[in-house]
Amino acid sequence: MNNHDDIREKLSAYCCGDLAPKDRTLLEDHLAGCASCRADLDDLRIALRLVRTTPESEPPPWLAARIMARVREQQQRESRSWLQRIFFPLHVKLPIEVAALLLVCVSGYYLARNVETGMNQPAAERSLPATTPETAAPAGAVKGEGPAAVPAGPVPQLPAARKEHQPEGSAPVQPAASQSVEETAPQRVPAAPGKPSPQPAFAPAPPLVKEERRAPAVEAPAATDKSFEKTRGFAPAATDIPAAAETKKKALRKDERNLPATEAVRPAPGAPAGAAPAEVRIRLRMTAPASAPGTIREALVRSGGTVVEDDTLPPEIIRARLPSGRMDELLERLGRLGTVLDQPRTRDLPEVVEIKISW
Amino acid sequence: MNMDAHGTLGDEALVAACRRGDTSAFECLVLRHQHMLFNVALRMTGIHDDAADVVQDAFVAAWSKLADFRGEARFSTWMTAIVINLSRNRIRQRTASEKRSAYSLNAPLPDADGEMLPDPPGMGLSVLEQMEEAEVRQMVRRCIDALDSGFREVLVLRDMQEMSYEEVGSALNLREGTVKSRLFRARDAIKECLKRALGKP
Repeated sequence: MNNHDDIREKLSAYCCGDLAPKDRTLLEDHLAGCASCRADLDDLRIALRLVRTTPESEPPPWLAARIMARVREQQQRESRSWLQRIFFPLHVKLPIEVAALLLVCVSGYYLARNVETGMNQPAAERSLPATTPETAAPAGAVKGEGPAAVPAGPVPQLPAARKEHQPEGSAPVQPAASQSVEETAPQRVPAAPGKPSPQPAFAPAPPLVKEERRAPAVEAPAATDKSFEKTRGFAPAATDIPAAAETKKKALRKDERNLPATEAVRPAPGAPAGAAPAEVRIRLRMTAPASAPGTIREALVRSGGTVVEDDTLPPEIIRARLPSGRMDELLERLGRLGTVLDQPRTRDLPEVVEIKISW
Repeated sequence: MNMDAHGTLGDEALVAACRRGDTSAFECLVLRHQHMLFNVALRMTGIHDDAADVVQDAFVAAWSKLADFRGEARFSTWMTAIVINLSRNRIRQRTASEKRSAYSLNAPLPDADGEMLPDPPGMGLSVLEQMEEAEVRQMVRRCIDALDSGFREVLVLRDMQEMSYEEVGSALNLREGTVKSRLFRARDAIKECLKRALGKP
Protein backbone atom coordinates (compact mmCIF):
# COMPACT_ATOMS: atom_id res chain seq x y z
CA MET A 1 0.00 0.00 0.00
CA ASN A 2 2.76 2.32 0.99
CA ASN A 3 4.34 1.69 -2.34
CA HIS A 4 1.06 2.38 -4.05
CA ASP A 5 0.63 5.73 -2.26
CA ASP A 6 4.08 6.63 -3.37
CA ILE A 7 3.16 5.82 -6.93
CA ARG A 8 -0.05 7.85 -6.74
CA GLU A 9 1.90 10.89 -5.70
CA LYS A 10 4.35 10.28 -8.50
CA LEU A 11 1.49 9.93 -10.94
CA SER A 12 0.33 13.40 -10.00
CA ALA A 13 3.72 14.77 -10.84
CA TYR A 14 4.05 12.61 -13.92
CA CYS A 15 0.82 13.79 -15.49
CA CYS A 16 2.09 17.34 -15.59
CA GLY A 17 5.63 16.56 -16.59
CA ASP A 18 6.98 17.40 -13.19
CA LEU A 19 8.67 14.08 -12.57
CA ALA A 20 12.43 13.65 -12.73
CA PRO A 21 13.54 11.51 -15.73
CA LYS A 22 14.73 8.63 -13.54
CA ASP A 23 11.46 8.43 -11.63
CA ARG A 24 9.57 8.79 -14.87
CA THR A 25 11.08 5.62 -16.39
CA LEU A 26 10.42 3.69 -13.19
CA LEU A 27 6.79 4.85 -13.19
CA GLU A 28 6.27 4.07 -16.85
CA ASP A 29 7.58 0.56 -16.19
CA HIS A 30 5.04 0.19 -13.41
CA LEU A 31 2.17 1.63 -15.45
CA ALA A 32 2.79 -0.89 -18.24
CA GLY A 33 1.85 -3.71 -15.91
CA CYS A 34 -0.78 -2.02 -13.69
CA ALA A 35 -4.24 -1.31 -15.18
CA SER A 36 -5.56 0.33 -12.01
CA CYS A 37 -2.66 2.78 -11.98
CA ARG A 38 -3.30 3.54 -15.65
CA ALA A 39 -6.98 4.26 -14.88
CA ASP A 40 -5.83 6.45 -11.98
CA LEU A 41 -3.58 8.36 -14.28
CA ASP A 42 -6.47 8.95 -16.70
CA ASP A 43 -8.71 10.19 -13.92
CA LEU A 44 -5.97 12.45 -12.70
CA ARG A 45 -5.52 13.96 -16.11
CA ILE A 46 -9.25 14.62 -16.40
CA ALA A 47 -9.43 16.13 -12.94
CA LEU A 48 -6.45 18.32 -13.57
CA ARG A 49 -7.84 19.45 -16.89
CA LEU A 50 -11.09 20.39 -15.19
CA VAL A 51 -9.25 22.32 -12.51
CA ARG A 52 -7.13 24.17 -15.01
CA THR A 53 -10.02 25.06 -17.25
CA THR A 54 -12.12 26.45 -14.44
CA PRO A 55 -13.35 29.71 -15.92
CA GLU A 56 -12.05 32.90 -14.34
CA SER A 57 -14.43 35.28 -12.75
CA GLU A 58 -14.50 39.00 -13.44
CA PRO A 59 -14.03 41.18 -10.40
CA PRO A 60 -17.00 43.46 -9.70
CA PRO A 61 -16.76 46.63 -11.81
CA TRP A 62 -16.79 48.88 -8.75
CA LEU A 63 -13.88 47.12 -7.09
CA ALA A 64 -11.05 49.32 -8.34
CA ALA A 65 -12.98 52.55 -7.68
CA ARG A 66 -13.78 51.44 -4.17
CA ILE A 67 -10.19 50.51 -3.51
CA MET A 68 -8.95 53.86 -4.77
CA ALA A 69 -11.52 55.76 -2.72
CA ARG A 70 -10.25 54.05 0.40
CA VAL A 71 -6.62 54.57 -0.56
CA ARG A 72 -7.12 58.29 -1.17
CA GLU A 73 -9.07 58.68 2.02
CA GLN A 74 -6.24 57.01 3.86
CA GLN A 75 -3.70 59.26 2.16
CA GLN A 76 -5.62 62.36 3.26
CA ARG A 77 -5.90 61.05 6.76
CA GLU A 78 -2.16 60.42 6.85
CA SER A 79 -1.25 63.87 5.61
CA ARG A 80 -3.74 65.38 8.02
CA SER A 81 -2.37 63.40 10.91
CA TRP A 82 1.07 64.79 10.17
CA LEU A 83 -0.22 68.33 10.50
CA GLN A 84 -2.38 67.42 13.42
CA ARG A 85 0.54 65.92 15.24
CA ILE A 86 2.11 69.37 15.12
CA PHE A 87 -0.84 71.73 15.36
CA PHE A 88 -3.63 69.79 16.95
CA PRO A 89 -2.65 70.71 20.50
CA LEU A 90 -2.48 74.37 19.53
CA HIS A 91 -5.73 74.38 17.62
CA VAL A 92 -8.04 72.65 19.96
CA LYS A 93 -6.51 71.70 23.24
CA LEU A 94 -4.62 74.89 23.90
CA PRO A 95 -7.51 77.33 23.44
CA ILE A 96 -9.75 75.33 25.73
CA GLU A 97 -7.13 74.90 28.38
CA VAL A 98 -5.92 78.46 28.19
CA ALA A 99 -9.44 79.80 28.26
CA ALA A 100 -10.18 77.73 31.33
CA LEU A 101 -6.96 78.82 33.01
CA LEU A 102 -7.61 82.47 32.18
CA LEU A 103 -11.12 82.23 33.52
CA VAL A 104 -9.85 80.77 36.78
CA CYS A 105 -7.09 83.36 37.08
CA VAL A 106 -9.27 86.35 36.25
CA SER A 107 -12.17 85.33 38.44
CA GLY A 108 -9.74 84.48 41.23
CA TYR A 109 -8.09 87.85 40.90
CA TYR A 110 -11.35 89.77 41.04
CA LEU A 111 -12.62 87.68 43.90
CA ALA A 112 -9.48 88.28 45.91
CA ARG A 113 -9.52 91.97 45.11
CA ASN A 114 -13.18 92.38 45.93
CA VAL A 115 -12.69 90.71 49.28
CA GLU A 116 -9.72 92.94 49.98
CA THR A 117 -11.47 96.18 49.02
CA GLY A 118 -14.59 94.97 50.76
CA MET A 119 -12.61 94.81 54.00
CA ASN A 120 -11.02 98.22 53.51
CA GLN A 121 -13.86 100.09 51.94
CA PRO A 122 -16.38 100.78 54.68
CA ALA A 123 -13.78 102.63 56.75
CA ALA A 124 -12.23 104.28 53.75
CA GLU A 125 -15.46 105.52 52.30
CA ARG A 126 -16.64 106.93 55.60
CA SER A 127 -13.54 109.06 55.93
CA LEU A 128 -13.55 110.25 52.36
CA PRO A 129 -15.71 113.09 51.19
CA ALA A 130 -18.11 112.75 48.33
CA THR A 131 -15.41 114.14 46.13
CA THR A 132 -13.25 111.09 46.62
CA PRO A 133 -10.94 110.19 43.81
CA GLU A 134 -13.09 108.60 41.20
CA THR A 135 -10.93 105.55 41.21
CA ALA A 136 -12.32 104.76 44.63
CA ALA A 137 -15.88 105.77 43.87
CA PRO A 138 -16.51 103.40 40.98
CA ALA A 139 -14.88 100.63 42.94
CA GLY A 140 -17.94 100.74 45.13
CA ALA A 141 -20.41 101.90 42.56
CA VAL A 142 -19.43 99.83 39.54
CA LYS A 143 -18.59 96.66 41.35
CA GLY A 144 -21.85 96.89 43.20
CA GLU A 145 -20.47 95.65 46.46
CA GLY A 146 -23.97 95.90 47.76
CA PRO A 147 -25.48 98.33 50.20
CA ALA A 148 -24.62 95.96 53.03
CA ALA A 149 -20.96 96.88 52.77
CA VAL A 150 -21.75 100.55 53.33
CA PRO A 151 -23.79 101.70 56.31
CA ALA A 152 -26.28 104.07 54.76
CA GLY A 153 -27.37 106.27 57.67
CA PRO A 154 -24.41 108.09 59.12
CA VAL A 155 -22.27 107.89 56.01
CA PRO A 156 -23.79 110.02 53.31
CA GLN A 157 -20.70 110.21 51.13
CA LEU A 158 -20.90 106.95 49.32
CA PRO A 159 -24.51 107.27 48.23
CA ALA A 160 -23.55 110.71 47.01
CA ALA A 161 -20.78 109.31 44.94
CA ARG A 162 -22.98 106.56 43.71
CA LYS A 163 -25.88 108.65 42.59
CA GLU A 164 -23.58 111.07 41.01
CA HIS A 165 -22.83 108.57 38.29
CA GLN A 166 -26.38 108.40 37.15
CA PRO A 167 -26.59 111.86 35.60
CA GLU A 168 -23.32 111.11 33.94
CA GLY A 169 -24.83 108.02 32.43
CA SER A 170 -25.31 110.07 29.28
CA ALA A 171 -21.62 109.52 28.70
CA PRO A 172 -21.38 105.76 28.41
CA VAL A 173 -17.60 105.93 28.48
CA GLN A 174 -17.73 106.72 32.13
CA PRO A 175 -17.97 103.37 33.94
CA ALA A 176 -15.75 101.64 31.48
CA ALA A 177 -13.23 104.44 31.66
CA SER A 178 -13.00 104.44 35.41
CA GLN A 179 -12.75 100.68 35.31
CA SER A 180 -9.91 100.83 32.88
CA VAL A 181 -8.15 103.26 35.13
CA GLU A 182 -8.45 100.69 37.84
CA GLU A 183 -7.14 97.96 35.65
CA THR A 184 -4.12 99.84 34.43
CA ALA A 185 -3.06 100.61 37.97
CA PRO A 186 -4.71 97.99 40.11
CA GLN A 187 -2.18 98.24 42.92
CA ARG A 188 -3.04 101.85 43.53
CA VAL A 189 -6.66 101.25 44.19
CA PRO A 190 -6.32 99.50 47.50
CA ALA A 191 -3.63 102.02 48.50
CA ALA A 192 -5.71 105.15 48.06
CA PRO A 193 -8.61 104.19 50.29
CA GLY A 194 -6.24 102.34 52.57
CA LYS A 195 -4.48 105.50 53.67
CA PRO A 196 -7.31 107.39 55.26
CA SER A 197 -8.86 104.33 56.81
CA PRO A 198 -7.46 104.86 60.33
CA GLN A 199 -9.24 108.19 60.61
CA PRO A 200 -12.43 108.49 62.65
CA ALA A 201 -15.35 107.29 60.68
CA PHE A 202 -18.15 109.52 61.84
CA ALA A 203 -16.58 112.94 61.49
CA PRO A 204 -17.11 113.82 57.86
CA ALA A 205 -15.86 117.40 57.93
CA PRO A 206 -12.39 117.22 59.47
CA PRO A 207 -11.19 114.26 57.40
CA LEU A 208 -11.78 116.28 54.28
CA VAL A 209 -9.55 119.08 55.51
CA LYS A 210 -6.88 116.69 56.62
CA GLU A 211 -7.15 114.75 53.44
CA GLU A 212 -6.74 117.77 51.24
CA ARG A 213 -3.89 119.10 53.29
CA ARG A 214 -2.04 115.90 53.06
CA ALA A 215 -2.53 115.83 49.35
CA PRO A 216 0.20 117.77 47.59
CA ALA A 217 -2.07 118.72 44.72
CA VAL A 218 -4.59 120.37 46.96
CA GLU A 219 -4.18 123.70 45.18
CA ALA A 220 -5.13 122.14 41.93
CA PRO A 221 -8.88 122.03 42.52
CA ALA A 222 -8.95 125.62 43.67
CA ALA A 223 -6.85 126.80 40.78
CA THR A 224 -8.95 125.00 38.24
CA ASP A 225 -12.06 126.26 39.91
CA LYS A 226 -10.86 129.83 39.67
CA SER A 227 -9.77 129.65 36.10
CA PHE A 228 -12.99 127.91 35.34
CA GLU A 229 -14.92 130.73 36.94
CA LYS A 230 -12.97 133.29 34.99
CA THR A 231 -13.53 131.70 31.66
CA ARG A 232 -17.10 130.77 32.26
CA GLY A 233 -18.14 133.83 34.16
CA PHE A 234 -21.63 133.22 35.54
CA ALA A 235 -22.51 130.33 33.41
CA PRO A 236 -24.63 127.75 35.23
CA ALA A 237 -21.85 125.65 36.61
CA ALA A 238 -23.69 122.54 37.61
CA THR A 239 -24.62 121.60 34.07
CA ASP A 240 -21.31 122.41 32.51
CA ILE A 241 -19.11 120.74 34.97
CA PRO A 242 -19.74 117.14 33.99
CA ALA A 243 -18.37 117.89 30.55
CA ALA A 244 -15.32 119.57 32.02
CA ALA A 245 -14.82 116.66 34.35
CA GLU A 246 -15.11 114.30 31.46
CA THR A 247 -12.31 115.93 29.51
CA LYS A 248 -10.30 116.19 32.66
CA LYS A 249 -10.66 112.50 33.32
CA LYS A 250 -9.58 111.68 29.84
CA ALA A 251 -6.51 113.84 30.31
CA LEU A 252 -5.85 112.15 33.59
CA ARG A 253 -6.02 108.73 32.11
CA LYS A 254 -3.65 109.77 29.43
CA ASP A 255 -1.26 111.10 32.03
CA GLU A 256 -1.44 108.04 34.18
CA ARG A 257 -0.62 105.80 31.33
CA ASN A 258 2.52 107.73 30.56
CA LEU A 259 3.68 108.36 34.08
CA PRO A 260 5.49 105.91 36.29
CA ALA A 261 3.39 104.46 39.05
CA THR A 262 4.56 106.77 41.86
CA GLU A 263 3.87 109.87 39.88
CA ALA A 264 0.69 108.54 38.47
CA VAL A 265 -0.81 108.53 41.94
CA ARG A 266 -0.57 112.27 42.12
CA PRO A 267 -3.46 113.22 39.86
CA ALA A 268 -5.77 111.15 41.99
CA PRO A 269 -6.02 113.67 44.87
CA GLY A 270 -6.68 116.33 42.29
CA ALA A 271 -9.67 114.37 41.20
CA PRO A 272 -12.10 116.05 43.62
CA ALA A 273 -12.16 118.86 41.13
CA GLY A 274 -13.04 116.29 38.51
CA ALA A 275 -15.80 114.96 40.75
CA ALA A 276 -17.07 118.51 41.22
CA PRO A 277 -20.60 117.86 39.92
CA ALA A 278 -21.43 116.84 43.45
CA GLU A 279 -21.01 120.45 44.32
CA VAL A 280 -23.78 122.99 43.95
CA ARG A 281 -22.52 126.49 43.51
CA ILE A 282 -24.50 129.42 44.63
CA ARG A 283 -23.47 132.95 43.79
CA LEU A 284 -24.87 135.77 45.82
CA ARG A 285 -24.89 139.50 45.54
CA MET A 286 -25.16 140.45 49.16
CA THR A 287 -27.12 143.47 50.27
CA ALA A 288 -24.81 143.66 53.28
CA PRO A 289 -21.47 142.18 52.22
CA ALA A 290 -19.77 143.09 55.48
CA SER A 291 -21.87 140.72 57.54
CA ALA A 292 -22.03 138.14 54.80
CA PRO A 293 -20.06 135.26 56.37
CA GLY A 294 -22.07 135.33 59.53
CA THR A 295 -25.49 135.63 57.95
CA ILE A 296 -24.79 133.02 55.36
CA ARG A 297 -23.55 130.59 57.97
CA GLU A 298 -26.64 131.18 59.98
CA ALA A 299 -28.84 130.53 56.97
CA LEU A 300 -26.96 127.35 56.30
CA VAL A 301 -27.23 126.02 59.82
CA ARG A 302 -30.90 126.87 59.98
CA SER A 303 -31.51 125.00 56.76
CA GLY A 304 -29.94 121.92 58.33
CA GLY A 305 -26.54 122.32 56.69
CA THR A 306 -23.07 121.89 58.08
CA VAL A 307 -20.36 124.41 57.30
CA VAL A 308 -17.17 122.74 56.17
CA GLU A 309 -14.23 124.65 57.53
CA ASP A 310 -11.56 125.06 54.93
CA ASP A 311 -8.64 127.41 55.58
CA THR A 312 -7.43 127.18 52.03
CA LEU A 313 -10.55 128.77 50.66
CA PRO A 314 -10.69 132.53 50.21
CA PRO A 315 -12.83 134.30 52.86
CA GLU A 316 -15.65 135.07 50.41
CA ILE A 317 -16.35 131.39 49.82
CA ILE A 318 -18.08 129.07 52.21
CA ARG A 319 -18.31 125.38 51.73
CA ALA A 320 -21.08 123.40 53.32
CA ARG A 321 -23.08 120.20 53.23
CA LEU A 322 -26.79 120.14 53.07
CA PRO A 323 -29.51 117.54 52.74
CA SER A 324 -30.76 118.10 49.22
CA GLY A 325 -34.35 118.10 50.42
CA ARG A 326 -33.71 121.42 52.16
CA MET A 327 -32.12 123.13 49.20
CA ASP A 328 -35.14 125.25 48.45
CA GLU A 329 -35.29 126.33 52.08
CA LEU A 330 -31.66 127.45 51.93
CA LEU A 331 -32.18 129.34 48.70
CA GLU A 332 -35.14 131.13 50.19
CA ARG A 333 -33.08 132.20 53.19
CA LEU A 334 -30.19 133.32 51.02
CA GLY A 335 -32.65 135.26 48.85
CA ARG A 336 -33.46 137.34 51.85
CA LEU A 337 -29.79 138.17 52.37
CA GLY A 338 -29.17 139.27 48.80
CA THR A 339 -29.72 138.20 45.21
CA VAL A 340 -29.05 134.63 44.15
CA LEU A 341 -27.29 135.18 40.85
CA ASP A 342 -27.56 131.69 39.43
CA GLN A 343 -30.29 129.39 40.46
CA PRO A 344 -28.67 126.02 41.07
CA ARG A 345 -30.67 123.00 40.12
CA THR A 346 -32.56 121.59 42.99
CA ARG A 347 -33.74 118.38 41.41
CA ASP A 348 -31.91 115.13 40.75
CA LEU A 349 -29.50 115.89 43.51
CA PRO A 350 -27.88 113.31 45.73
CA GLU A 351 -29.19 112.91 49.22
CA VAL A 352 -26.55 115.21 50.61
CA VAL A 353 -25.02 117.95 48.49
CA GLU A 354 -21.81 119.85 48.74
CA ILE A 355 -22.46 123.54 48.46
CA LYS A 356 -20.06 126.30 47.69
CA ILE A 357 -21.42 129.71 48.33
CA SER A 358 -19.55 132.69 47.01
CA TRP A 359 -20.40 136.38 47.14
CA MET B 1 1.93 61.43 -14.52
CA ASN B 2 -1.27 60.33 -16.18
CA MET B 3 -2.69 56.88 -16.54
CA ASP B 4 -1.46 56.39 -20.10
CA ALA B 5 2.10 57.07 -19.05
CA HIS B 6 1.63 54.70 -16.14
CA GLY B 7 0.34 51.97 -18.41
CA THR B 8 3.74 51.61 -20.07
CA LEU B 9 5.64 51.43 -16.80
CA GLY B 10 6.62 48.24 -15.05
CA ASP B 11 5.33 47.36 -11.62
CA GLU B 12 8.59 48.42 -10.00
CA ALA B 13 8.41 51.94 -11.44
CA LEU B 14 4.79 52.23 -10.44
CA VAL B 15 5.59 51.09 -6.92
CA ALA B 16 8.31 53.74 -6.76
CA ALA B 17 5.78 56.37 -7.87
CA CYS B 18 3.35 55.13 -5.23
CA ARG B 19 5.99 55.60 -2.57
CA ARG B 20 6.11 59.27 -3.55
CA GLY B 21 2.38 59.46 -2.86
CA ASP B 22 1.21 59.04 -6.47
CA THR B 23 -2.20 57.44 -6.07
CA SER B 24 -2.82 57.25 -9.83
CA ALA B 25 0.22 54.98 -10.11
CA PHE B 26 -1.36 52.80 -7.49
CA GLU B 27 -4.61 52.84 -9.39
CA CYS B 28 -2.72 51.51 -12.37
CA LEU B 29 -1.39 48.64 -10.26
CA VAL B 30 -4.90 47.94 -8.99
CA LEU B 31 -6.31 47.76 -12.50
CA ARG B 32 -3.46 45.56 -13.62
CA HIS B 33 -3.70 42.98 -10.85
CA GLN B 34 -7.22 43.05 -9.49
CA HIS B 35 -8.44 40.33 -11.88
CA MET B 36 -5.81 37.79 -10.90
CA LEU B 37 -6.05 38.62 -7.21
CA PHE B 38 -9.81 38.52 -7.23
CA ASN B 39 -9.74 35.03 -8.73
CA VAL B 40 -7.22 33.83 -6.19
CA ALA B 41 -9.42 35.23 -3.42
CA LEU B 42 -12.53 33.71 -4.99
CA ARG B 43 -10.97 30.22 -5.25
CA MET B 44 -9.69 30.53 -1.73
CA THR B 45 -12.86 31.80 -0.08
CA GLY B 46 -15.34 30.34 -2.52
CA ILE B 47 -17.65 33.34 -2.02
CA HIS B 48 -17.88 36.29 -4.39
CA ASP B 49 -18.49 38.99 -1.77
CA ASP B 50 -15.77 37.67 0.49
CA ALA B 51 -13.35 37.72 -2.42
CA ALA B 52 -14.19 41.33 -3.23
CA ASP B 53 -13.70 42.32 0.40
CA VAL B 54 -10.42 40.47 0.60
CA VAL B 55 -9.05 42.17 -2.52
CA GLN B 56 -10.11 45.61 -1.29
CA ASP B 57 -8.53 45.08 2.09
CA ALA B 58 -5.41 43.65 0.46
CA PHE B 59 -4.85 46.70 -1.78
CA VAL B 60 -5.55 49.17 1.02
CA ALA B 61 -3.16 47.28 3.28
CA ALA B 62 -0.59 47.21 0.47
CA TRP B 63 -0.81 50.99 0.06
CA SER B 64 -0.01 51.61 3.69
CA LYS B 65 2.61 48.86 3.86
CA LEU B 66 4.33 49.81 0.63
CA ALA B 67 7.45 50.69 2.60
CA ASP B 68 7.71 47.02 3.63
CA PHE B 69 7.82 45.87 0.02
CA ARG B 70 11.50 45.63 -0.79
CA GLY B 71 11.19 44.27 -4.26
CA GLU B 72 12.62 40.85 -3.35
CA ALA B 73 9.56 39.31 -4.99
CA ARG B 74 7.43 40.66 -7.78
CA PHE B 75 4.66 43.03 -6.79
CA SER B 76 2.05 40.50 -7.94
CA THR B 77 3.61 37.81 -5.76
CA TRP B 78 3.70 40.15 -2.79
CA MET B 79 0.06 41.06 -3.37
CA THR B 80 -0.84 37.36 -3.70
CA ALA B 81 0.70 36.67 -0.33
CA ILE B 82 -1.43 39.41 1.22
CA VAL B 83 -4.58 38.09 -0.47
CA ILE B 84 -3.85 34.53 0.67
CA ASN B 85 -3.34 35.71 4.24
CA LEU B 86 -6.53 37.74 4.29
CA SER B 87 -8.39 34.82 2.70
CA ARG B 88 -7.18 32.50 5.45
CA ASN B 89 -8.48 34.97 8.04
CA ARG B 90 -11.78 35.19 6.21
CA ILE B 91 -12.14 31.40 6.11
CA ARG B 92 -11.27 31.16 9.77
CA GLN B 93 -13.94 33.72 10.60
CA ARG B 94 -16.52 31.83 8.68
CA THR B 95 -18.32 29.26 10.72
CA ALA B 96 -19.93 27.48 7.81
CA SER B 97 -17.70 24.45 7.84
CA GLU B 98 -20.48 21.98 7.18
CA LYS B 99 -20.23 22.59 3.45
CA ARG B 100 -16.64 21.42 3.56
CA SER B 101 -17.26 18.44 5.79
CA ALA B 102 -19.79 17.11 3.31
CA TYR B 103 -16.94 16.65 0.90
CA SER B 104 -14.32 15.65 3.40
CA LEU B 105 -11.43 13.95 1.73
CA ASN B 106 -10.73 11.44 4.43
CA ALA B 107 -14.05 10.42 5.88
CA PRO B 108 -16.24 8.08 3.84
CA LEU B 109 -19.35 9.79 2.56
CA PRO B 110 -22.45 9.27 4.63
CA ASP B 111 -25.53 8.34 2.66
CA ALA B 112 -29.06 9.50 3.22
CA ASP B 113 -29.58 6.96 6.02
CA GLY B 114 -26.42 8.05 7.71
CA GLU B 115 -24.68 4.77 6.91
CA MET B 116 -21.19 4.81 5.63
CA LEU B 117 -20.90 3.92 2.03
CA PRO B 118 -18.15 1.62 0.94
CA ASP B 119 -15.47 3.01 -1.28
CA PRO B 120 -17.01 4.31 -4.47
CA PRO B 121 -17.20 1.95 -7.39
CA GLY B 122 -14.35 2.06 -9.83
CA MET B 123 -16.04 4.46 -12.17
CA GLY B 124 -13.70 6.44 -14.37
CA LEU B 125 -13.84 10.22 -14.40
CA SER B 126 -14.37 10.01 -18.14
CA VAL B 127 -18.05 9.89 -17.22
CA LEU B 128 -17.70 13.59 -16.32
CA GLU B 129 -17.12 14.35 -19.97
CA GLN B 130 -20.60 13.30 -20.83
CA MET B 131 -22.13 15.29 -17.99
CA GLU B 132 -23.54 18.74 -18.13
CA GLU B 133 -20.88 21.42 -18.06
CA ALA B 134 -22.39 23.51 -15.23
CA GLU B 135 -22.82 20.45 -13.05
CA VAL B 136 -19.26 19.38 -13.54
CA ARG B 137 -17.99 22.88 -12.80
CA GLN B 138 -19.90 22.93 -9.59
CA MET B 139 -18.50 19.55 -8.58
CA VAL B 140 -14.99 20.72 -9.29
CA ARG B 141 -15.51 23.92 -7.36
CA ARG B 142 -16.87 22.02 -4.38
CA CYS B 143 -13.94 19.67 -4.46
CA ILE B 144 -11.51 22.56 -4.52
CA ASP B 145 -13.40 24.16 -1.62
CA ALA B 146 -13.20 20.87 0.25
CA LEU B 147 -9.41 20.88 0.21
CA ASP B 148 -7.59 21.94 3.33
CA SER B 149 -6.47 25.48 2.74
CA GLY B 150 -2.76 24.54 2.78
CA PHE B 151 -3.36 22.32 -0.24
CA ARG B 152 -5.89 24.55 -1.87
CA GLU B 153 -3.48 27.48 -1.83
CA VAL B 154 -0.88 25.52 -3.76
CA LEU B 155 -3.39 24.14 -6.26
CA VAL B 156 -4.95 27.58 -6.86
CA LEU B 157 -1.66 29.35 -7.39
CA ARG B 158 0.07 26.68 -9.41
CA ASP B 159 -2.62 24.95 -11.44
CA MET B 160 -5.19 27.72 -11.68
CA GLN B 161 -3.05 30.88 -11.73
CA GLU B 162 -0.16 29.11 -13.39
CA MET B 163 2.50 30.61 -11.19
CA SER B 164 5.95 29.09 -11.18
CA TYR B 165 6.96 26.87 -8.26
CA GLU B 166 9.31 29.58 -7.17
CA GLU B 167 6.56 32.23 -7.11
CA VAL B 168 4.18 29.93 -5.26
CA GLY B 169 6.90 29.21 -2.71
CA SER B 170 7.58 32.91 -2.37
CA ALA B 171 3.91 33.84 -1.96
CA LEU B 172 3.23 31.10 0.55
CA ASN B 173 6.63 31.26 2.21
CA LEU B 174 7.25 27.57 1.48
CA ARG B 175 10.20 25.66 0.12
CA GLU B 176 9.82 24.43 -3.44
CA GLY B 177 9.83 20.78 -2.35
CA THR B 178 6.97 21.42 0.03
CA VAL B 179 5.06 23.18 -2.70
CA LYS B 180 5.43 20.23 -5.05
CA SER B 181 4.52 17.60 -2.52
CA ARG B 182 1.44 19.57 -1.46
CA LEU B 183 0.49 20.14 -5.06
CA PHE B 184 0.63 16.46 -5.99
CA ARG B 185 -1.43 15.50 -3.00
CA ALA B 186 -3.91 18.24 -3.76
CA ARG B 187 -4.36 17.03 -7.34
CA ASP B 188 -4.84 13.48 -6.18
CA ALA B 189 -7.35 14.67 -3.61
CA ILE B 190 -9.35 16.48 -6.27
CA LYS B 191 -9.43 13.35 -8.39
CA GLU B 192 -10.60 11.25 -5.46
CA CYS B 193 -13.17 13.87 -4.53
CA LEU B 194 -14.61 13.86 -8.03
CA LYS B 195 -14.78 10.07 -8.03
CA ARG B 196 -16.65 10.14 -4.75
CA ALA B 197 -19.00 12.77 -6.06
CA LEU B 198 -19.74 10.60 -9.06
CA GLY B 199 -20.23 7.56 -6.88
CA LYS B 200 -22.91 9.36 -4.94
CA PRO B 201 -26.36 8.28 -6.06
